[in-house]
Amino acid sequence: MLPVLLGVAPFAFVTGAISVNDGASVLESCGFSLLAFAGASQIAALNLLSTGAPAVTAVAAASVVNLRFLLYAAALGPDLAAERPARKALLSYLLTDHAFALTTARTEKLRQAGTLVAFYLGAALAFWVTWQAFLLAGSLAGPRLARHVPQTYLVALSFLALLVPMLRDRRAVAAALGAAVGMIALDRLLPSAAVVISICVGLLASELVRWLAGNGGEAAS
Amino acid sequence: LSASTLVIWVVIGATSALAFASRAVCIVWPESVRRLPGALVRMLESIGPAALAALVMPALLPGGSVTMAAWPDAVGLAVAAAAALRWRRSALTIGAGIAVICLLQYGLGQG
Repeated sequence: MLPVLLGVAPFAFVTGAISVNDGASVLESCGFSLLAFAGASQIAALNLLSTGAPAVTAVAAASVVNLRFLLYAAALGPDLAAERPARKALLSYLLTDHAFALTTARTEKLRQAGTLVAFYLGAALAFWVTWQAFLLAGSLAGPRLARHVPQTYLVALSFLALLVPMLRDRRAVAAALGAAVGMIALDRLLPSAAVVISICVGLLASELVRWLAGNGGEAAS
Repeated sequence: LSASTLVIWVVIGATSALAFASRAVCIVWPESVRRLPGALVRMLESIGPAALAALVMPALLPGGSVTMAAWPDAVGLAVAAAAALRWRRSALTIGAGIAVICLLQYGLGQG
């Protein structure tokens, strides 16, 4: 558990630093983190706002990043079905990549012991405390960090740290390449809609790879 | 309250509400999982890489092209990407990336 907690700290620190260097105050940076508790979407929203993008674009791009939580929640939902509504709301708010990964890595064992919800809640709270503490530290240290590391570099680095581990199969690689090509083509032509359209291009590329693999399999059989 | 402050808080509120909805819908209403179309679920599996790749590109190619002045950044990000591929841990990726850019800038006398 401790190595995973330490793993989340640098990303939280960098998220705080990027937020402040993108023009948010320490209060806004921490407020965003307390309310949304979603680092990638916080960076995306504030970075887009700092480049002059409309608020609607910033919200749309930031929210698309969070759609992966639908899948995590779908996987955890049946195990949390017996909880009270208020507790379900708390468990939902605390859902992150790390808490989900830690819990699902030992789902069967936790189900047998009847401790899945307790384990998930404990892990998620530990992440929450670590995340908020290091994000506050990053928000306070942001201007100093900016003197040594360029802001665009920090943004690229933080997204890269999340992106590369997701490239596990051809569909994921196709989705990333499709979205990247879309951004290169559209960033200047349609700056306010480029991110959302490029994500759609990436999803279509992923579906195309799946379809081609399916047809290849049918032809072979 | 200035206009920019108001805009930031509107974005924070809207993004937070949508983030919560993404997390809560299948937990508060688990039966909604069964109602999601199969094609949508498949697409959601790829949304992470697609969204992050779209978001990383403007930082990788400021102004839509690679500039020679940005070569230390490119080296740092290449090392960070290699670290991410090797260890798949965000802490090591960010640590490697920051260490390399600081060393390069120190070496070039920019730090």
